[in-house]
Amino acid sequence: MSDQKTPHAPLVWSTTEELERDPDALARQGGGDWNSKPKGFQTPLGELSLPEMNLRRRDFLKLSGFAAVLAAVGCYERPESELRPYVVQPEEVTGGIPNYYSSTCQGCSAACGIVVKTYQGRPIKLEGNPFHPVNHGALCSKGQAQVLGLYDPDRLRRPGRIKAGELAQEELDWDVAYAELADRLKSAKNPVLLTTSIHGPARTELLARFKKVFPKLRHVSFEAFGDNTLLRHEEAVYGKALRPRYRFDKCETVVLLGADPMSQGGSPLEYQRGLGGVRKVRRDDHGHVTMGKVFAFEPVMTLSGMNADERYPVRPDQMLDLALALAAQLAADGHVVGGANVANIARNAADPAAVEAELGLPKGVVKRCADQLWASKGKSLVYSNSLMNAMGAEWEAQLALTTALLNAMLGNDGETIERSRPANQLQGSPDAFAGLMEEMKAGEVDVLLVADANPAYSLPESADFADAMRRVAYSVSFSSHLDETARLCRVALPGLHFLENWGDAEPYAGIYSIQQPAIGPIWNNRAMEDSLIAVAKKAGGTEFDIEKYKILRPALQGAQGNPPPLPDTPPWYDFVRNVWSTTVREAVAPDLGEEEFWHDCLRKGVAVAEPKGQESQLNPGAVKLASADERQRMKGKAGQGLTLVTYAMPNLGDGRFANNPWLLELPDPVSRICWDNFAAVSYGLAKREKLKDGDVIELTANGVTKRVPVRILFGAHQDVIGVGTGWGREHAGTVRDEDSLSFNAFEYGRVVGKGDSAHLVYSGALATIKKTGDTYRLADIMGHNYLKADPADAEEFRRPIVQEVALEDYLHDDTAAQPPHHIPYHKGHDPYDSLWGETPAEDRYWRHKWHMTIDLNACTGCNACMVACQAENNIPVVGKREVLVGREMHWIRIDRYYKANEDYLDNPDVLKHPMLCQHCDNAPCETVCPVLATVHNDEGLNTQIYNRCVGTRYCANNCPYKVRRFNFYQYSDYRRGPHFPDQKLKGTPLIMALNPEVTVRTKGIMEKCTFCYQRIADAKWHAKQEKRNIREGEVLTACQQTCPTQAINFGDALNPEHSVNTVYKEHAYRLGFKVLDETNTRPNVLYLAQVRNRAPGAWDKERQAEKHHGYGDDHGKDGKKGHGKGDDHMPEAPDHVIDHSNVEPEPAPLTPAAHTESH
Amino acid sequence: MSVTVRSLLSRWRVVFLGGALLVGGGIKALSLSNNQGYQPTQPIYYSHALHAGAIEDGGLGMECLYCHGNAEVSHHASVPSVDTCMTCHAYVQTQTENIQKLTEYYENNESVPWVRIHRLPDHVYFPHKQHVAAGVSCQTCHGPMQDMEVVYQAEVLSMGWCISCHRDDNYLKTPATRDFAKFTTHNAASEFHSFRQTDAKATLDIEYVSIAEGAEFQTVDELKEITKALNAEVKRGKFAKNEVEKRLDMIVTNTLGYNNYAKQTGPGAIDHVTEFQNANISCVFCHH
Repeated sequence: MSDQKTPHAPLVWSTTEELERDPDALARQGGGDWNSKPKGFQTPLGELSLPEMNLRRRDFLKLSGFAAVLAAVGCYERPESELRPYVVQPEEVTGGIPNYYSSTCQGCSAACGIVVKTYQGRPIKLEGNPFHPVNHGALCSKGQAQVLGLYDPDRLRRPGRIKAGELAQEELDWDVAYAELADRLKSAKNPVLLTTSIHGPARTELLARFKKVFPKLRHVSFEAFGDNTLLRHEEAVYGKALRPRYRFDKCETVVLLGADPMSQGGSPLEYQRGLGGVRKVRRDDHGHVTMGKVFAFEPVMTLSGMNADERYPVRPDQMLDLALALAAQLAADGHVVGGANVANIARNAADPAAVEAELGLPKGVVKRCADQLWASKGKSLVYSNSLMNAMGAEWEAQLALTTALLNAMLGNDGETIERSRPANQLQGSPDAFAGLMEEMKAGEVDVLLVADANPAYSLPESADFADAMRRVAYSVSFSSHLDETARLCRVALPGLHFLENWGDAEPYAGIYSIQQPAIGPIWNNRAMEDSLIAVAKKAGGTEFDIEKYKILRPALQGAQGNPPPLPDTPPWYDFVRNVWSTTVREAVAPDLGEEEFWHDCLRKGVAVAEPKGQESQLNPGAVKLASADERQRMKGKAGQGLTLVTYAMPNLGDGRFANNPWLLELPDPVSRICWDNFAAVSYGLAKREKLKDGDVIELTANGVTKRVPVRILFGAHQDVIGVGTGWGREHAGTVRDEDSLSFNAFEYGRVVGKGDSAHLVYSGALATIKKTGDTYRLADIMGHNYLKADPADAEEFRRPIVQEVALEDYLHDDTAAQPPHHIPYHKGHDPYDSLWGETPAEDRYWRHKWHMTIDLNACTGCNACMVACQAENNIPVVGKREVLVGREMHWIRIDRYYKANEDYLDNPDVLKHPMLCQHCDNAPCETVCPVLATVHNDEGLNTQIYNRCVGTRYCANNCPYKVRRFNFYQYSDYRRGPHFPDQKLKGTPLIMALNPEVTVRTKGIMEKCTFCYQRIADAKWHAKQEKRNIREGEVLTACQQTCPTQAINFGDALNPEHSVNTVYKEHAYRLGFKVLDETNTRPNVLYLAQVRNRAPGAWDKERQAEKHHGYGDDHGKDGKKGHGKGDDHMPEAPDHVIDHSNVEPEPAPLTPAAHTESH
Repeated sequence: MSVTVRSLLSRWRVVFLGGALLVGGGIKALSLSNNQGYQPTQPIYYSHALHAGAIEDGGLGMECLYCHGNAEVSHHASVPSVDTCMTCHAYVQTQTENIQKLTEYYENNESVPWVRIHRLPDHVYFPHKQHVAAGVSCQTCHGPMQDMEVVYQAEVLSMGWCISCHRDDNYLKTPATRDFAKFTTHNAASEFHSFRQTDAKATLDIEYVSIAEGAEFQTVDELKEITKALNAEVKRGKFAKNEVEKRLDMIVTNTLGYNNYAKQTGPGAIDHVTEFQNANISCVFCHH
């Protein structure tokens, strides 16, 4: 910001079009109105409109009359339907009552504990296991969507040979396939088993025994997001090649160097939970308000970065300099835990001021960051493991080393970085496989077994994996789909989904997590583990001759006649049980009996042993920092032009979920784009290159050229072009648009080096772009249906939708976060007269009054709630074309707003705003419904009665929050919207994913969030049966249950035991605000304003005046930097110094439980 | 397009066709979406009259909940699993044609394809358990099942029919129910089905015992005694006034529930013992 300009309230915007007030673009978006069709839009039924039929009014009436009579005659007969009871009803099953089984999510290698909700043997919903030490009851969006993956009709349904990339018609018997594979393996010279991460006592034991049968077999783990540079460096510096456990949940300060642990890493959900906890506003031991702080330096805006308190765009090739500058700053200040020899390493590594200038950072950032880290030494973490930093082996090693040095200087080893319980997550890496590929290309690998790993997709194009596969004599795929890798194999022996299979996991040493099936195999598939056991037995191995456990059915004991035979237990079950009864039991609870221990584990889902490992400290002698010249050499050409950065997009991960419509329609947390990925460019770059959203460019890097759509991603570095992974899979399944421009970002990578030192480089390549003149429509949900915060309106008309406040402002004035127009109810009077002459709330609601609070500071915008809601409430997928006209059906969405002063448009703050039905006491939707389809009930809920609704859509038009969803085309029939009428739910297993507790809505009616009324009703019933009140935590809405950071609280306002009341009491007129409260809608959702732990500068009158005029706060002017502006003056005071004396005495002392749970 | 539409809709054709359809279809249209009386043929001839009928009437007097036990705990009453039938019919009447059919299904591990009769629209959230707990007898909605040789739908099961009970004062216990009645515009249901406050009250004075919060009564007079006693407690300040109402409410509800339950199962509910003893089946076999 130049000093000449008058400071004014920051701009808030959600799309580039809105920021620029581009009328054409706004019209192209549909103008935010779902009724208007953009030009060229075809309805699924083709262009059908009345004027073309030339129908007169009288004719229309006649036709209507016919239709009515025909309807009357035709509809009275009802189709006959069957009622099929069980043959033998399992003892634990009662029709209509769900059963819950604890298990382990195997969506990624993090191995979160889950509880599977099943109805009569079909899983319908996954929830986190609250007893599990990895996820503590939460589950991410991908985990939530796994239940749809189970029913994926594109899964392979039988074993078979693969010819020309297709499953051959002729049947292949399992036994024949096993015998063939056993023969091949016996005679093979160099057989290889290629899997994704495999951990868990039984799984590893199985592999060990399998290797005993076939001693030549090699096991290689392949993970696209894996990282063995880290392992090498750990071995060099800490003595052991272990993956440490990062404890973000113990941190008070976190510095992210080009890393996005919330999307990519060993345990993204756990990291997210930790990072969310860092930023929760809480009270310290002395009762003072405080919160942690997150710094992010990153090339593109990521999920983690948008949640940071301070965030700066930094190119990947500058990351090492920055890390060294931080280390040098700490050393210079004498802020070192490890003593002089550690400090000496870093003392002259870099000059912080020079680095700041070179990187275009505001002056003093490095110092501030270092001070903040030191202030919370032992409780801080510097983290840099990321695809975005994958610029080459040496470079990554140097960055890892510097990061380790920083953590050692701060005394974090053994505190926030635990090596006593090393992680098993994300074993393997692409590198291990790159070396193997050389052997394959040389024809040395004669048998290859592939399970789930998909290198054909996630290796760079230049690696030419297909060629390597052709030279393998015999290859078998155990993958569930005929994916890019499986179709290059010779035989498919499809494995099971984890919800159909036994298994286990050991995410951290000594944390044993059991996986039990919740449904029998849907198709003629077998667990890979069973196949391996069978193959070993065919080959004459005796390693798997183990005790047979019987599953007993007591109900059948003593019955006469010929009861249907029990299915035989698979040998893999016996194996798991055997290992758990011996190895695990001895490690965890040797005193318990086998049977008792086994059932205890199945019930809890997890068994935890004492950690056996030792914490280790950095060996300063092993730290060899590269000189400036060497660093320059390692960088290569990166930074000398437009630099390519590959980053992990959180929704699809490494691409393994690319056939899951829930995740495809789930908007990316940062860009809010669904159904596609894109090339991310900064606003500045877009201006420079004259690019607009949706322009199609030819992006060339590493010799690969692709036609890709452009998206302006605010916050990206100006010299960086970002490509997100997980998209563009050609053989993921049938959920794929032929004309989509989604592309595979992995293909831009390249393999460097040979053999063991081979390394995959994804970032840092120079990229060139060429405009093609074409445009492509990206489905951006922020283009419609959000609450307009129009930046062009005069300040007094801009509506304060989301509130944000700087921590220091909040400490000075605890009402600083309050919107300017809020209703001062709390002062005991009501300034607005009601139209209805309403009865007081205590007379309207006497039994329950449901309230929700959402802590915007804890909310990371990760979307887990959206998928949880979709799974719980049978929300259909509508398809990209419907999203383009604003017809997505999500009951809860997360609005994302950018906020910045005009000078800092290239690095705005991001505001996330989960928006769901606010269940207003004075609901505007209710007054306009002509048929009383939406009414208020006596529990404060705004209810929607589907069979009364006639679809006038008045309610949606009158809803200021835009949360009502209209079902235009019987979306519930289709797998991915009406534009693909051949892909229906009916006739596929997908129909089994529906929750029987929730009505499947038909077309022509309105729907919206119900606060999970089915869950409330269930809790009420149980409470009534037991003659008690509903307990705290008994009703958890689906979104609340899954929230990784526990941002959502829900409960009964009339029950003082419910913690939602505590939150209300603590925050109602401080951080708490209700959206559009000034319209007197009286919402029942209380949002807690986002607090940025950032120094806002001196508390001056100008700012105060501004606050009461426009937005509730402003810190667009503090320290927010566009690239290349180094002349900014930053406040001098380090912001960890909080003056507590200004905190007003609290009228309602906070019980810290509600907000400090993770601390 | 316009030509076709116009020629299709010439005046006389419209009048003739429309008239014919109206007369023909109108009769059926009167019973629009009403499946009352629906009585499909089932794959196995199963007589509720034989199983659930009173022993004096030649039935076995079995409790409804013996087979449809889910009704008490779940939303769905559920059709019993095949092995429920086989617990008895592995021993009883094994040679008849229908039991042979049943055994065949069982041994082939195949479910019996019963034809569904009672069916509510998908948007209806009807829990059996609440209604059973509130003491609504099975027969209230399903008709005289104990007399049916072949099951048919006895009631209309329309929304208007539902509220014929729910708008009745006696059933307006919860505000939710009250709102349900208040907001419903479809309450032009037939008086034919209007539910019977009087019936419900009449069941108070039969001989069964109920226990709620420690209070018991067998007759209406005893109930009055309890009421008096409770009111006395109010005077002594032991209870709040609304507490008494609540307690009485509970007592009455429970009594009603139990009585209706007893009524539906018939006095001979346990007389099947002899039947089973003859077949050498011990009590514990069913009543674990």
